[in-house]
Amino acid sequence: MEILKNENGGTLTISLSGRLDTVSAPQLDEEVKASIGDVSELILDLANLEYMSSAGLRILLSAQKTMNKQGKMIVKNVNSTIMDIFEVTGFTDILTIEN
Amino acid sequence: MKIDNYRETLPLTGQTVDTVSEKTEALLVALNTEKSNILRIRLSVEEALLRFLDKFGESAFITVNIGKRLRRPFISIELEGEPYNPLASNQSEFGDWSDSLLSGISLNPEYSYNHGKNTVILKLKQPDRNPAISLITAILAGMIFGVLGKHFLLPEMQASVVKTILQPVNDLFFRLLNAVSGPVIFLTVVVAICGMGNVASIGKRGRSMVLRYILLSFIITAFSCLVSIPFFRLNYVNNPLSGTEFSSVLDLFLNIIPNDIFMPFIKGESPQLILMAFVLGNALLFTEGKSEKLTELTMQANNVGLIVAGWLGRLVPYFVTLLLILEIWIGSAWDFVGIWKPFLIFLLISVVIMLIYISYVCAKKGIKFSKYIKKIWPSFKTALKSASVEHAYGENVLCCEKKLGVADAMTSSALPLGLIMFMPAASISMLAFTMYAAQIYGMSVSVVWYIFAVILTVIVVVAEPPVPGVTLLGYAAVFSQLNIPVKALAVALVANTIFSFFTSALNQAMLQTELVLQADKAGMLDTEILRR
Repeated sequence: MEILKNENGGTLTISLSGRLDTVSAPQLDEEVKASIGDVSELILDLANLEYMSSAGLRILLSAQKTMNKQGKMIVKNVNSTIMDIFEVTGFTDILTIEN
Repeated sequence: MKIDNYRETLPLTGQTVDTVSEKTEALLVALNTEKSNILRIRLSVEEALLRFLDKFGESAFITVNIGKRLRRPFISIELEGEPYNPLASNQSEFGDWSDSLLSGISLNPEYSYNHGKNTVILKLKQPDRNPAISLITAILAGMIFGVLGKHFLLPEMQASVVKTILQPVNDLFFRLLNAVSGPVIFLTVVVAICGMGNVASIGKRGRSMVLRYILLSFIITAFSCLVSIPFFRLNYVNNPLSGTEFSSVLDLFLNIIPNDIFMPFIKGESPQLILMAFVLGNALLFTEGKSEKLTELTMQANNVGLIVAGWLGRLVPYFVTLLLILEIWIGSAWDFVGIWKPFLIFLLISVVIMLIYISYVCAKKGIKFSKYIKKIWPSFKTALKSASVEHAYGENVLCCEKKLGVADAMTSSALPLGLIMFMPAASISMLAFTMYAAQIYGMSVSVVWYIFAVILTVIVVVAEPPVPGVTLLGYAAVFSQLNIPVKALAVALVANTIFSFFTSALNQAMLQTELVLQADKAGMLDTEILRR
């Protein structure tokens, strides 16, 4: 999985590509935890993400909980594969999704 | 299809979780599992393994078994260590989002702890074919062979096949149907009432739910009857205000009480059977604890009845083909051509009622009509494509809880109950076809006949066993009571096959909308989710 970060003021954009599986999830977890300390807006761009595992969903949920306290989190460019995962798990009700 | 069994003991690491997830997906793909269900099962397996990983760390080992046992596909995970159930709710700080993933598609993983070993096993369903495919194939095959035979076989040969094969098979099937329908309907009602003890136990709300479903079904079916009357050319016996007509209505209700307990079975008197079932069911409920053996015996008899009904249901596509050939060869195919009329009437009335229902909910809860339709469309489409609410059950639950905002406590009780007790589209379709059958066989009808038809269609639809393809049992019961010739069942068989695609989807949409109203009334509706 490839992780690209772009910080602009209080806004951090993280773009993910490849597979967010159980092996790659800890890498994203570390990146997110290390970067969102002073961020008021977190944008996750999932345009090129091919699969999200249960471990990936946990990271999103954890990030959402953190961002609820300090700002907002937006998930954008969600492709149909990832949207199916969000729909069956009910994450569409938890996350703010913008396409 | 061949499925290779996979068994391996692996260290519990992230890599192992991904490997097991991929093996699970491969099994599910081989089983032709629906895409959204693959995701549900895969994510559930991953989550169970992650919970084991959270608890035991990477020093543990798991034994994974994926394959088929006694022809049933399964996935099992074993881990040695202290007892820990990864399926229990709130085991994880990450919430319980995964808890309803499998229950939503009627799968229940089991956890056990024996000889120091934690075992989680998920038994999957056998891959089943979409019932719609076999029904459509049956109709097409009947039409093709019927037309080809009519044109290419000598009339003597056609007559011989009709006399020696088609007619006897046809008679045998309908005799079987009549023999099975009474006892199966009786047992289904007794068991349903015994089961309703659970509904009653959830209090006043459960009882009012049952009453509301039945009352609404009667109102909708009676309204459909009134609207349909001008569209059928029925031989009406016009003496609605005479004393004879009034006493007939009275007789109708008095005749529901049987003279003895055997005749209703012998004569197949479905209203009397349903009344007897109602009394017996309530008596068993009332004497709970003192009549356990009788209740158990009834349950077992019902299971046997459902198996027999299931066998009949499986035979339906073959009989659709044979009946179509028979009717085309003996020149009665025009009765089939006229099916468009009750079909169109049923479809128009059901769609209008559904839209009124939805508009009412949208106006009441301040949600855009188009948005509501968009929310229920995926589950509607699945029911429509498969002609079965059972196939769409998972999406139905998801739609109610995640899109319409109905609390899961409400969905878990009111939805399964509604699937059995609230089937207005099925009642409308049966009534429309019954009126059509009365027209083609020149029946005389009266106010009493219409009242009886409405009551019968509603109670028979509710009393039918929940087995795919056996709606015909209901038609057999209704026709015998309304004196409609048995041969009308042949047309009913084909009509019901066509109607079933739409009845499933329309029943489901009306039930979902009804659930929103019930949840709102009970304070169990999340309006934010509904409006989102």
